[in-house]
Amino acid sequence: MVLDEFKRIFEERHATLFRLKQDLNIMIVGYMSQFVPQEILASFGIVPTRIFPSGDWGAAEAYLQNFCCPYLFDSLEQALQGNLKYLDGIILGGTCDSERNLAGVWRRAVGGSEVFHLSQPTRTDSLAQEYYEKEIRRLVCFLEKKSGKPFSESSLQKSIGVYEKNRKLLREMYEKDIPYSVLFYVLASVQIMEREAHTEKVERLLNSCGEKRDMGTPMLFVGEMVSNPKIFFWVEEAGGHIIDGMGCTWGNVKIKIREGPLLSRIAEAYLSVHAPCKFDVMGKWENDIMNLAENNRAKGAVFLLQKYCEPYAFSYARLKKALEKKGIRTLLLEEHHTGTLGMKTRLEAFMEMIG
Amino acid sequence: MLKKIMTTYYRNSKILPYLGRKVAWVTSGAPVELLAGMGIYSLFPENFSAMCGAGRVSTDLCMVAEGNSFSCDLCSYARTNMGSIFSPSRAPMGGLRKPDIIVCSNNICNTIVKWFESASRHYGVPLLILDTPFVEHELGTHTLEYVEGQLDEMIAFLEGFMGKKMDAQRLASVLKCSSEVVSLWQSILDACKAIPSPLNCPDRFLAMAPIVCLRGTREAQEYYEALHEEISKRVTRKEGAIVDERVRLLWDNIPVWFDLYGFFNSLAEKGVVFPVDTYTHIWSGVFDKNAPMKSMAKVYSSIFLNRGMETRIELIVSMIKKYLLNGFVMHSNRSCKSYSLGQLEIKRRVTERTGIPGIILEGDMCDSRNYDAHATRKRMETYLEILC
Repeated sequence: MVLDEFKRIFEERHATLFRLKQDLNIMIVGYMSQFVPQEILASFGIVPTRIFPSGDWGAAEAYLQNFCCPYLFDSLEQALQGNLKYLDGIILGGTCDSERNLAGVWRRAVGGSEVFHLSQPTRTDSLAQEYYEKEIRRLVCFLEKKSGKPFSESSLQKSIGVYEKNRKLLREMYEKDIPYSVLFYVLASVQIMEREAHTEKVERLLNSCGEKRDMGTPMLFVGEMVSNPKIFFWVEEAGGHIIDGMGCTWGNVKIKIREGPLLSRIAEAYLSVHAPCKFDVMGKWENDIMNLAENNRAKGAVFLLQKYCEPYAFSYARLKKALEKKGIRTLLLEEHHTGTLGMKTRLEAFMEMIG
Repeated sequence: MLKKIMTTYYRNSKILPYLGRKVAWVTSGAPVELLAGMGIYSLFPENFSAMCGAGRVSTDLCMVAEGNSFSCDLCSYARTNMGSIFSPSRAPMGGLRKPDIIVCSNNICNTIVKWFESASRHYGVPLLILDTPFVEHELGTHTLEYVEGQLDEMIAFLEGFMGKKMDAQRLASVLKCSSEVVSLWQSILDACKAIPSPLNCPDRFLAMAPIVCLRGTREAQEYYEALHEEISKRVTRKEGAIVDERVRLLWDNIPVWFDLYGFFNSLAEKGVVFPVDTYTHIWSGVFDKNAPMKSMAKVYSSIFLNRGMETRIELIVSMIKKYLLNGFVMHSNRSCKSYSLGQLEIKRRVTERTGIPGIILEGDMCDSRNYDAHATRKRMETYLEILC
């Protein structure tokens, strides 16, 4: 079944990527931030792959204090354990204070793959877009040297077409009869594998699925990354229907690249994604979350946060109040290397409370 | 003199608004000179939080913030300030005066942007940000252009906000004064290369208050001129900050404010002095009067905390050599990821380069629940045995 294929790709991602590299002699470059312009890497024939947490813990303690974001900690841990040996490089950015310090640590701790620091602006207005376009040009120079190929506008245009088609199909997935515990694998695997191959699978899936129907008590999930997607299954098993407010899946899907000068439009599109790590005094991201809650008549909201994540923690304080004012009960779950079985109990109790 | 200056500074912040003066909340790395050029009075929530830490009221204020759903893992400066907003009666002086505008820069960290967004939303006042992208290696032209463009935007906004044009002469005067103050401060820091060192860490951490809060003012200039004169005399007389200086160490990161004198005095009794630290060296850039905006963009983008690991390693290695140090102490400050993450690797690299051993101490700048004074003293004792 095609749904099982997405799950397998995600769960066996390291093995999948190792095989891809061996079979096709292809370059693979890792990234963590959703603001990394994947189309550009793909235009050089490089497979961009987002590093997802694995739940591992140990060797990275020699490099990062335990109050570091667990997602970044986990990513370094995977590299130190040799699970990311297929990477030809990694792009790290300034999404947050933890990530901006990680580049220096990664270079020293992890041999074999080159680190490119893509300095992302915190502002997202036109001035920031102009800056980000120039920073992306710097990335292009790096990729030219890395791949040995010159930058090609036509390759990039083609790559944009592939990504836009895929994202359009993914947005359609939300209107289908697919529980989020399964949809997660579709949306996560897209960030691991070649886009065209993913699109082919998504098209097959869309043809086989029915339209969205009432699937249980609407529960909004808010967060960035998750190490154990079974969490979503537990909620559904308890009668919940998940509304996607997770940055690792929903965030990427919303990107739309307009016609025009390519690099400029890419900078504009990626900075148009609302996220708590960006300068957002008007609260656009928080408004998005409130709209998701209201439009889907959420009965409850689960904040599934990485412990020590400051951007989310500041927003949580406001969103909790705003949601509870609307009569939507909230639950905070923090991931921190402690496994997620305890969360199952709390989620089940929360679902019982919601009724 | 310092006590008088700072008391007047905070008292004025309560009085001047009644005389029509606008008040801004500003980050320590923000271009405060632009605000001074417009006649806006600047207050620094970080300095206020540090003061709460030194006064041992910060932990209570942190708990007030936590009671309002702010995570206990957030920066304790932020929690202290938010706590003082929610419960001003628990804060010194009833908390900071409400701002009319907030100006921040993320050259020290990105957390401060989210903190100040919270304050801006709470008070319903405008928030300006000077976004200084992280500089991993070299400071690129496009980065400088971006920062300079924002400074121009900031001036335009402030002119609209205040209903008057920026006084170019006043701004030039403020920039000149700011540069002179920074130069004086650097001379004072450099004087600590002397053996014995005329200043210890706590002395510098307190003495830096005017450079944070009153940069660009005549009061700061007078203070540092007087301090510079006093320090020069101490160097001439070979008068050290401590009796019987035997071990010289570097301090990295913000101090543990609520144990400031406890920690350093316990070591001073053993002949340990800290002639240099990375924190007070943050204010080191001077402006070019012929290219004020360009030089402001460069200075504010080049703040130590906005630079990559290699820059930090070079700085510490250079300090160890120039100040003739025996070791270095790195405070793994739970509240400051910007400063702390990477220290484990920096420590290794510095020791590789210099042969000098370092130690990492766990703590927090303002939240006493994240600090064990007894365990910290014990670790330092062990470290000193290695050194001596």
